[in-house]
Amino acid sequence: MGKHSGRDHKERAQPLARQHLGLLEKKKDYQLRAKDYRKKQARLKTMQEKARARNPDEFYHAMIKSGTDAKGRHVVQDRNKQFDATFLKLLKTQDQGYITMQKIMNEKKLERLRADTHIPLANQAHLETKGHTASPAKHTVFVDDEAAAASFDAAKHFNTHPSLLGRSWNRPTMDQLTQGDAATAALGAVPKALRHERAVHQREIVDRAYRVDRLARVEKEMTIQKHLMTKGPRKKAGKDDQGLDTYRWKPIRKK
Amino acid sequence: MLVTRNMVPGESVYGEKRISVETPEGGKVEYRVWNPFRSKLAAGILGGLDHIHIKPGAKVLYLGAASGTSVSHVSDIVGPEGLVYAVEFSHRPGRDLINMAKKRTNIIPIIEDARHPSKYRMLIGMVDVIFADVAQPDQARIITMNAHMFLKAAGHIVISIKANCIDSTVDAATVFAREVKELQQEKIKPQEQITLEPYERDHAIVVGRYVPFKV
Ligand SMILES: C[S@@+](CC[C@H](N)C(=O)[O-])C[C@H]1O[C@@H](n2cnc3c(N)ncnc32)[C@H](O)[C@@H]1O
Repeated sequence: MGKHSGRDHKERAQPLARQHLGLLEKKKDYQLRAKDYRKKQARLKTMQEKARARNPDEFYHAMIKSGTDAKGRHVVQDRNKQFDATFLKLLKTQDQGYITMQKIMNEKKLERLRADTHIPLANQAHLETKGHTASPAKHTVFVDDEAAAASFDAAKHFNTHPSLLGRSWNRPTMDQLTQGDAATAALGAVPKALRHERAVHQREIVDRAYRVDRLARVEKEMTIQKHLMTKGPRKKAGKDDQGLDTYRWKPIRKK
Repeated sequence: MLVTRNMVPGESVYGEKRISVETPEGGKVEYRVWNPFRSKLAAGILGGLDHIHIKPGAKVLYLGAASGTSVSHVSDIVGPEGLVYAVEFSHRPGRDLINMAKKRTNIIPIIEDARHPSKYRMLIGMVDVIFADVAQPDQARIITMNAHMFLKAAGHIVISIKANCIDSTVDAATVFAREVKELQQEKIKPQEQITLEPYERDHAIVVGRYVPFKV
């Protein structure tokens, strides 16, 4: 609490007759208004100056970066172009907390799905629509020399039936197959209902992984934009592994 | 789904699911789900490794045990007749490892740096298999040092390689090939190699046999 001495001074109010003009302007208010006015005038003046001194042959990057869209509106192509429209909208309308929450929720669901569904089905087409480029796993067998490599017989090496070579899991050995007990018979064919259920799970895993990936990207971009709104000299410092621009701020010594 | 038979029925180690199955004799067997997205060894198995050499009764030296997620499944596999020496140098995960070993008597936790095998020489006998997942640039050296000290002749090594832990400037396949060569120079004969997609990116498991002298 400040020091309080003597009586309170009341401010002079706007006379009743002039009430429609709003609060009574004081000197302080006037000064602010005048300063603002002069600043704007100065700005207009420099802009006019620049326009007058413009060299019509000079090149500006904005000339090729900006243009008008179908409706004739002026648009500037910018860094946001790397996102598809839906995410851009998300970027602008939703706040970062929501994105983070969604990402965590999806990550948790993904984790739970993965804990239950281990065996991948080769649904390459679906994977690719979701931007996956992961190559299939590669199994290498080392042998002693060139001759052994030339005469290599995978089915013999893995001691299994040639028709089962494409399968990486539950691949019965020849001994198990010839004994032909009920357990191995069950290994042979996967029931249709189970196959269907697996396929559905697989799809969801791929979709969720994709979503988590996109959300992480948006989250990161939001952080960058938040930082960009702060003051201080900075420079672009290349791109990160997701293709987003990274920036470096000049270190400022704080006193 | 990949599961191991739970050595300590009724208990999960890291929150994994358990599945109980009735046997024809009327008893009950419990299995623990082994998630290939969390364990590289599990990913290797589902990827189709021919042999992991870790089997009931085996003695295993596990380098880079972390908090023991995978170690617990290895302990399930080797069973009461086998042994798992689990080496981890970081204390925080080491604590979880030690707690787990209280319930699983076939695990011997060792909180030491695997770069100095002589420090824990007194604790370990000869082993059948060395599994290594240390994710260090000098891992080949760490593994061969331990192999020379503790691995039986004709024993096996199973190592997990994370390419960008070793060299992030070249592509993964080159890193794997380099590591294999390094192992070869140290009397380890590579047998098979598998990459861990879709569970992990740029990871591989290499299986080899230790041949200390010509026969
Ligand atoms: C990728 S994690 C292993 C994860 C574990 N295999 C699993 O699947 O649950 C690698 C571990 O190796 C440990 N490590 C790294 N260098 C080591 C060393 N020289 N000696 C012992 N442990 C080491 C790290 O502390 C880390 O916990």
